[in-house]
Amino acid sequence: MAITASDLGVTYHSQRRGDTVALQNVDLTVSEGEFVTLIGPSGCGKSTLLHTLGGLLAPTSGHVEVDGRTVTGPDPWKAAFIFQDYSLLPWKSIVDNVAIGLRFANRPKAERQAKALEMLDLVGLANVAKAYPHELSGGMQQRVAVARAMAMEPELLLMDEPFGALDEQTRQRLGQQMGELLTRSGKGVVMVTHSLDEAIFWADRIIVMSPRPGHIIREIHVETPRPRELDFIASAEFGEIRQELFRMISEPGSAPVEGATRPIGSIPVPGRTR
Amino acid sequence: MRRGSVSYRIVVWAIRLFLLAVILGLWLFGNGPGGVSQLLLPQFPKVWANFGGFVVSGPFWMNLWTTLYAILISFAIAAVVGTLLGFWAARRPLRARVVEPIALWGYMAPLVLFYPLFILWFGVGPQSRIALAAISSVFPIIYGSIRAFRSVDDIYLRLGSAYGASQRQIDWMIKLRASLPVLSSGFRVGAAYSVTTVIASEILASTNGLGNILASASQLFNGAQAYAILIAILIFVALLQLGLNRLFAARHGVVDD
Repeated sequence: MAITASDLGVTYHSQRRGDTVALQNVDLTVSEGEFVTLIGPSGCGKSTLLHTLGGLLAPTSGHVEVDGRTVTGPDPWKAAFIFQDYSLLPWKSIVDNVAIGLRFANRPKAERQAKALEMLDLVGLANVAKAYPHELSGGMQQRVAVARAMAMEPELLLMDEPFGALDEQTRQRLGQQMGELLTRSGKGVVMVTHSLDEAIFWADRIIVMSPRPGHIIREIHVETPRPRELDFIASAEFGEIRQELFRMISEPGSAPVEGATRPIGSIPVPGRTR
Repeated sequence: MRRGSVSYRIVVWAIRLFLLAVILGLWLFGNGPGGVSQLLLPQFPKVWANFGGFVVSGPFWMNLWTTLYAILISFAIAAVVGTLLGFWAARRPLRARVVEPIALWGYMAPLVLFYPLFILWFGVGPQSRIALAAISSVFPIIYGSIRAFRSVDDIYLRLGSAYGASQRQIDWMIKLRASLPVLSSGFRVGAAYSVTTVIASEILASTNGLGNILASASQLFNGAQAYAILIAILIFVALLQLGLNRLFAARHGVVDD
């Protein structure tokens, strides 16, 4: 499955502040099994682009196509979202949270349970199937959210700063686990991040965006095959790309990016920004 | 001592029983050394005897049933109508803007003043009390449900649409469920209004019900019986509250602090 955005534009209307052009002239194709990261300063429209790709937001101009058919709304069977705030329903058990998409599709209960347990097993959380979200740590909750997306067996995962709310250690460990998982599954991924390291470490291709109005300023291919070991961070390729990104994003007039002015390995932990 | 642990609960109940004992102690003091008139504060043993005699008698239960029936029916009507109206109003900002102050006005207004009119319309039977209690309790429920539905976090609605929920599924499985904690506080106020209105209107004009037998007992200067009925009403309300708690219990790990 390939997803294509052509000449995409999104304008937000507000009576008080007038129109804001969040996205303009965006052309992007994500091919089957490709891992694409979106990076750029805050306000550059990377989340808007992700939401529009997944049909959660209707574009003001242009359109999104999946295998030649125009996207008119979210279709979790094709492209499933993973949000930064996890968005687990607090009144449902973990297993029911994982099965939520199947529930909405009115699948029989036995099928939902079996599928959800299988996915929980995949992310290593089968033992907390009967627990409730508030009993789990942030990292565990995000793994539940990954399992929930995988339960739909989508070909594409749309991740909106999935590790943004986690502490550095959890983030690295979870990143490694999920990276292997996603690579083995062969699913395509579009991931929004504001961490340079994350953007490079995960990606087949990095899309760099710039704000006001949000548009793509650069695409960078990462040649080292996935999944990558943690020592990829110490490689020459990683260093070069990081330098390039750093230069591009810290050019005059552009807002700073998280981690851009700090040494590798000391990415600050952003607060829960919901 | 952890909240929710067994020893914590024992302490909580011990304090509650102690407070009850203090009230009883004050009562007995008033009866004896305090020298309070028996007309104002009947002897406790006499009131207690009424529990054994009058309160467990057939007529008492008949009256209790009359009152309970009026409360349950009026509350049920108010809960369904109020929730639906609140849901409808909360859907559009304009509707909420129009309905919210009206609901708040009806919430504050002493609607029991309309009881004479309701008797004209519905007669002195239970219908007039049910109608009045339903109208009194529907306003806090409308007000509470508008607030409840508007309080639902957008992330849950976004999750619903991202995972393919239909509009009906979003309404029933997400909006209604996510608003339950706030919704239940409106229901509690509504239930309180139902209870008050039914009993008060029974006192004002009625031939049966707990309010009616309470009024007759005090008009006949049967203080001991009036007190016994009062206490029975308080116990009855406590049981009703317990029922509501059960109904809206924050189940499944939703922390209700």
